[in-house]
Amino acid sequence: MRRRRVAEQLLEVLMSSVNGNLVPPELGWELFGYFVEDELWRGKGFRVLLKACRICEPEKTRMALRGEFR
Amino acid sequence: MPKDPLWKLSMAAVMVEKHGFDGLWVSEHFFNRNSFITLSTIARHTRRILLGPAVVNPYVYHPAQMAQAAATLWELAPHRVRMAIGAGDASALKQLGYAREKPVEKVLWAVEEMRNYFEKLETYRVWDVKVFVGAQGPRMLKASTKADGVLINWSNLEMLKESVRLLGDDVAKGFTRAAYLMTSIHDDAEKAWKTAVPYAAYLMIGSSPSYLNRIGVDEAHRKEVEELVITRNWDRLYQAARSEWVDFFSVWGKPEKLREFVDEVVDMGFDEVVFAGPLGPRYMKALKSIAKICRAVKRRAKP
Repeated sequence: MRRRRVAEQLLEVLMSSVNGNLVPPELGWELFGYFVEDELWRGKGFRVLLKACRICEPEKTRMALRGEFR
Repeated sequence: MPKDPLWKLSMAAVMVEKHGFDGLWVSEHFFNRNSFITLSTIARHTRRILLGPAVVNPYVYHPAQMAQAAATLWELAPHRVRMAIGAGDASALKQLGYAREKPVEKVLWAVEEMRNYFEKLETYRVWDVKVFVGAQGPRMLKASTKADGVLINWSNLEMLKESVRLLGDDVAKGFTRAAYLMTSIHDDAEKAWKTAVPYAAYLMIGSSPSYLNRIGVDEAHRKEVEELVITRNWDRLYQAARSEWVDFFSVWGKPEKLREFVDEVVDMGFDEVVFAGPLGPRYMKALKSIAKICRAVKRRAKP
C-alpha cells in the first residue's frame, strides 16, 4: 500500500511539472504504457516513473519519496 | 496543458475520462503540439469523452483541412468529435507572418465553409460534429449564433453575464453556451494565485485596449508585463501582478470559491463549463476537486 501511495505522489509530481518536455519521448510512452495498465506502483513501472520524475523535478521527487510532497 | 508532450497529454486525457468529465478540448497553438494529432492519440485511449480542438483559426488552417481533420478524427472516435473555430492569438499569428484581418468575417466564413466541406466528403461521412465559435468581443459573440455553440473565453462573472445578455435568446434550438474558464485551484489560495498569474498575464497582454481600459491597465503596465512574460522572469512578474487583471482573466483560489463561481455561471444560463489549464499547482488534486464540484453542480441543477 505504501508503494501505491508513493507512486501516486510521484505521479502528481510529474503531472504538475512544467518540465515534461525534458523526458525523452521513448521514456514518456513507456511510462504511459505502465500508467494505463495500472502498473506504475510496482516493478519496472515504478522505476520508469521514478526516472521520469527525477528528470523533471529532482527535489520534489526526493520530497515525494520521503512522503513530504504536499 | 498545451505545452506538454503528447504522452503526458494522453495521460491527462485518461484521467479526465476516469473522473467522469463529459469532454475535453485540446488547445490549438502553433508553438505547441498539433491539436488534431494530439486528439487522434487521445481518441485511441479513451472511449466516452467528447473531443475537439479549441480553437482552430482560419489563418493557419483552411476550412477544407479543418473538415478533413475533423472527419478523420470522427472515424477514430465516432459521435465524439466537436470543433471550435476562433480568430486565434494575434501575437502568435504575427510571429508566423499572418495579419489577423477581419477576424469575425473570417471565422464565419470558416464555419460555413467547413460545413460545406463535410457535405463534399464522398468517401466517408460525418453528421454530428458540432461547430463552436471561440468568442470574447460582442461582434464575435453575435456571429457565433450562426454556429452550433460558443466558447466564451472569460473568467470573470461580470463579463460572462454581459456575454449572455449580448447573445440573447435568439439562438437556434440546441445552441450550446459554454463558459471557458482559466482555472487555478488549491487549498492554499496563495499557491493557486501564483500558478494563475503567468496564464492570466499571457491573456492580459494579448487583450484589446478597450478591455484593458475597462480594468484600469495602461499600455506602460501591459508592456512591462509582456516583457516579463517573454523573458520568463516569473519572480518579477509576481511582484508586478495586479489583482485587476489576475482576477479578470482567471478564476483562482480554494475549491469552494470555484464551486460558488460555477454555480453562478450555471445560473446565468450556461449549458457547459470548460475548465482550462493550468487547473492548479497540483494537477491531479485539482482535477479531482473540479470533478467533485461538477458532480455537486449537476446534482443541484437537476430539476
